[in-house]
Amino acid sequence: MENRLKETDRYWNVLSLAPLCLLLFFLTIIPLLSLIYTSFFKVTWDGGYLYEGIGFQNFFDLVENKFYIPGVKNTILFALITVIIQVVIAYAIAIVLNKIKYRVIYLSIFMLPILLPPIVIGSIWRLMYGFDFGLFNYLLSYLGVMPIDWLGDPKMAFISIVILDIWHWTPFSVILLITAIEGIPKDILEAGLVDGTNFLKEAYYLITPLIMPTIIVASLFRFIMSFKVFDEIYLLTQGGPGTATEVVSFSIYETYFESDNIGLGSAMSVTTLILIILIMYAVQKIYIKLRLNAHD
Amino acid sequence: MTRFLSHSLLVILSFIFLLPFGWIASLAFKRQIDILMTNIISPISYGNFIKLFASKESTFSNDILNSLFVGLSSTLIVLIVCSLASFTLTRLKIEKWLGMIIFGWVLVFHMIPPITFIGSWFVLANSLGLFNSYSALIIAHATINLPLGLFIITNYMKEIPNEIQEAAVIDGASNYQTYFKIFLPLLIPGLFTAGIIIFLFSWNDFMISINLSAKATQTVPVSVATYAQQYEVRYGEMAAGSLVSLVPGLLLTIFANRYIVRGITAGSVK
Amino acid sequence: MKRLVSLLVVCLLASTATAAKLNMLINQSPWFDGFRKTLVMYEEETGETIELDVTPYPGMSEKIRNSIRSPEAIYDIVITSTEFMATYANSGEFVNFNDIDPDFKLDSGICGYQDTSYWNYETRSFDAKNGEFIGIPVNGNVQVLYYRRDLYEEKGLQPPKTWDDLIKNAAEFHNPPRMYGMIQRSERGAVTYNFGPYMFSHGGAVYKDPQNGDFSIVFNSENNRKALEKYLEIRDKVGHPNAHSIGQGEMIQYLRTGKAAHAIAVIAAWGGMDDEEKSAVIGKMGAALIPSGPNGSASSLGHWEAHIPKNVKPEHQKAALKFLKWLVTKENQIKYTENGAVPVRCDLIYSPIAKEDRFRFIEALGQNSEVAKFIAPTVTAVESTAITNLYLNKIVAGEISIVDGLNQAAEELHKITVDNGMKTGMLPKLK
Repeated sequence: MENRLKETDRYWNVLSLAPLCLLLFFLTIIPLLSLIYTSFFKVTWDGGYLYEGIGFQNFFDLVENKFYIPGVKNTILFALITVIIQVVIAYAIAIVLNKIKYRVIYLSIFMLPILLPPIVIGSIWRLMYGFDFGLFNYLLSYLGVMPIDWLGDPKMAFISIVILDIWHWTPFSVILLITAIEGIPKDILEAGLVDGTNFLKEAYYLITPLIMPTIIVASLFRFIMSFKVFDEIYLLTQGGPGTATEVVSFSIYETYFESDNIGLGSAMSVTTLILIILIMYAVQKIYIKLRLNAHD
Repeated sequence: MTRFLSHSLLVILSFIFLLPFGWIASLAFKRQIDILMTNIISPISYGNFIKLFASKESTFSNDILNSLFVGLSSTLIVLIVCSLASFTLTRLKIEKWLGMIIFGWVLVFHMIPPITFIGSWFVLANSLGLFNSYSALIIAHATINLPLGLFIITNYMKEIPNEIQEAAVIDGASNYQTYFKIFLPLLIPGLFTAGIIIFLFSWNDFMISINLSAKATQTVPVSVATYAQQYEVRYGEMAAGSLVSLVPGLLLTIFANRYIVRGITAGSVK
Repeated sequence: MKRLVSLLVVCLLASTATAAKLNMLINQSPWFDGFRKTLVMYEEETGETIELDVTPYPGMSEKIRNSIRSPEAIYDIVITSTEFMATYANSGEFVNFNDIDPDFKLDSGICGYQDTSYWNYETRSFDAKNGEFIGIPVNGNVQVLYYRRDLYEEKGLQPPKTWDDLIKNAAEFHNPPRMYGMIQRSERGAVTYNFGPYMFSHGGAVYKDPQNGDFSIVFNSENNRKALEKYLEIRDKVGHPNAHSIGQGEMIQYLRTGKAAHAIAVIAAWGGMDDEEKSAVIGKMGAALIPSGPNGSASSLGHWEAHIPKNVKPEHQKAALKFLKWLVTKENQIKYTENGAVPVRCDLIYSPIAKEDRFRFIEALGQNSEVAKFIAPTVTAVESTAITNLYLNKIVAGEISIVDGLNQAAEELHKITVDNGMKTGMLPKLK
C-alpha cells in the first residue's frame, strides 16, 4: 500500500511538472542560450546566416553606443520611481477598499487603464500632452496655469512618462494587493479589532506584515516590467527630446530589429539581464539589512 | 470619520483614473477634426463605429473573437500548468534544488525583453507550419505569461495553512486528491487574480501577436495599431476600437473581481 | 468548460490554411485605401486575386524579413519604404524583374527617385546603370511645401521661391499661439527627414557620392552648417518654439486645424486636407515646390518600392509582376490618383486631372519628385539615421551647438561606415 502510494506520487511529481518544464525548455532555454551565444558573434545574412566570432567586441560596442547607456540610466531611474509610487498608491487603495462594502465597483474603475492596449494609451496620451491643443494644458488654462511643455522639455518629458506609467500600471499592483488582503483569515482581523486598534494601526501592524510577500512579488514584477517598457513610450516620445526618455528596450529594438544587428542586440539583452539581476540582488541585500535593523 | 475620508480618497483617485480614460472614451464619438481641435463639446458622431464594423475590409469583429479565443485559451493553459507545478514545488517533498532552479529560471526568463526571442519563435512556428495559426499564438502567449502565473499562484499557494494539508494526508488522500479536492477550491481567488492579469496581458500584447499572426488570426491590439499610421493617427477609430474591445475584458474583470472579493464575505479560509 | 476544451482542440487541429492566390504585405496608411480600390479594379479586370495582409507600420520590417528569409515565401509581393529599402535590396533576396521578363523596362514617365529601382551589389548603392532591376515604385511619397492659398490670395502673395521669401511670407501670418508662420517637424524620430530639403538646397549632404559608392561623410560641412542656421532662423522668426517635440501627427494637426500657415510635409498627408471629417481648412490648402537655397530646390524621398522575393514560386512571380506592371501604366496611375493614392508618375503633370482643383497637389508633387533626394541610401540607413536624428534633435532643442553636434554626428557616422566596410572618409572638423 505504502509503496503503491509512493509510486503514484512519483508519477504525480513528473506529470505535474512536465508541462511547465517542457514549455520552459523548448521556448525559453533554447532562445536564451542562443541569445548568449549570438552575443559573441557578428551575424550577417547572405542567403543564410553567417556567424563571425568577434569575442567581446559587441560588449565593448554597446558601451560606446549613443543610445544604450543613456537608456540604461533612464530605465533604472524610471523603474525605481514608478514602482515605488505605484506600490504606495496601490497599497493605500487596497487598504481603504478593504473597508468599503461595494468595493467591486471601485475595483473595476481602477482596473480600466490596464484594459486598454498600450499602443492606444501611447498615441492618445501624446495627444493629451500636446502643447497647443492638448487636453491637459486646456484644463490647466481654466485654472489659470501657464501651458506646460509636457514633452518638449527634457526633464518634463521624463516626468510625463512617469505620470503615464503610474496611471497605466497602478491597477496591476492594486489587484494583487486586494487579493492578498481579502485572503487574510477573518478571525485574525477580528481578533485585532477586539484589541481596540484603530484603522491606521490595524493597517500598519496587522495587515502590512501579512501581505508583505505580496507587496514584494508586486514590486518585483513591476520592476522587471518597467525594464521592458516599450509601446507607450515609443508612441509618446520615441525616446526624445535628445535621449531624455530613451529606455533600454528602444536600443534593443532598434539594434536587433530595425538595424538587423542581431549580435549587438543580443549583447544588449544579455547585459540588461545581468544588470537587473545585480540590481535585484542589491535591493534584496538592502531590504534584509533594513529588516534586521528594524528588529534591533 | 474614517469612512468619510476613505470615500473621499477613493472618489478623488477614481476621478484621476477616470479622467484620461473618459477622454479616450469620448474620442470614439468625435470626428477627427474635433479631436484635433480638442473640442470638449462636439456633435456626437457614430462614424468611427460604423467604419470599424461596416466598412468592407474591416475584420474587427473577427479580431475580437481571435483575441478572446487566444486570451482565454492561453490563460487557461497558464493556470493549469502553473497551479500544478506550484502545488508540487511548494507543497510536496521534492528536491529543493529543483524548485530553486525552476523559480530562478522563470524569473530570469521574465527579465529578457520578449522582442529578442520572438525571432526564434517565429522560425520555430514557421518551420512547423504554424505561422498565422492560433496554436502558435496561444502557446507563445502562454509561455510569456508563465512567470507571472507561477509567482502569483505560488504566492497564494503558500498562504494555505499547513494543517489542511496534514489533515488530508492523515485521511490517506493521494496527491491527486489533495490537489483537486482541497487545494484548487481554496486557490480560487488567487487563480482568478492570476487569470485576470494574464488574460489582460495576452489581450493587450502587440509585439508577439504582430509577428506570429497575419490577417486571419490578427488580434485586437494589432488591428487597433493599424490606426496609428505612419502619416496619420486615426484617433477616433482607435478609441472606438479600444472601447469596443474593452467590453469583454471589463465583463470578465467584473466577473472575476466578484470571486476575488468574495473572500471575506464567504468566510473562505478558516 | 467541456465545450471550451473541445473548441480548443478543434482549433488547434484546424489551425492553418494555405491559399493558392497571391499574398501581398502592405501597411495601413492614408494612401492604402486608394491602393485597395485600385487593386479591386485590377481583380475585376483580370480575374486574378491578391490577398492583402494589412499590417501596422511598426510590423512591416520584421514581417518582410521573416518572409524573405523563410525557405518558402509568405508574401509574393513586399513593399519597402526608404527607411529600410537599401538594407533589403542588399539582402540579395529580391528577384531581378528582367529574369522574369527580359524586355520589361520602367517607362520614362515614371519618376526616377534617384535610381531606387536598381541595386548595385558591388558598390552597395542604387545605380540604374550597373544595378539589377529589383523594385517598382508604388507610392510616390515625397515632401512638398504646404501653404494656405486662401490667405495667400487675401494678401496677394506668391508661393515662396527662396527660404527668405518663405520667412517674409510666413511673417505675415505668424501670430502665435493662434497661428504659426511655419511648422517644422524636428522631433527625434523625424528631424533628419524634415531637415533634408534645407540640407540639399544648401549643397549639403550626409554622404559624398552614394550613387557611385562613395560613402565619405560630409555631414559636418560648411554647407550643412548654413542649412541648419537657416532652419533655426526660420524656427526663431516664424516657427514653433517647440519644434523639437513636433512630430508628423502634430504637424498635420497644426495644418488641419488652421494653425499653420506653412509646413514642409509628405504628400501622403494631403488626403485629409479636403475631408470635412478631418479638416477645418477645406479647399484652403495649396502645395508648391519647396523653396530653394544656393543650390536650388530639393525635397527628400519617402516613397515605397514593391519587390518580388526570390523564394516566391515562379508562377506566382509572373502573376505578381503582371500586377505591378499594370499598376504603373499611365492610365492606371490616373485611376490610382483618383482613388486617393499617391501616383509615381511625374508625367501626370501634363494630364488633364492635374487641372482639377481636387488634384491641385499634382503639379507640386511632380516638381518636388524631380528634385527629391535620398538622404541615407545605404544599407546602414537605420543606424545612421538614428545618429543624425539624435544630433539634429539636440541641436534644435538647444542642448548642443551646431558645430559640436555636426562634428560629433560625423564621427559616429564615419564609425558606422568603417564598421560596415564601406568606402568612406571624413571632412576636417568644422570650426
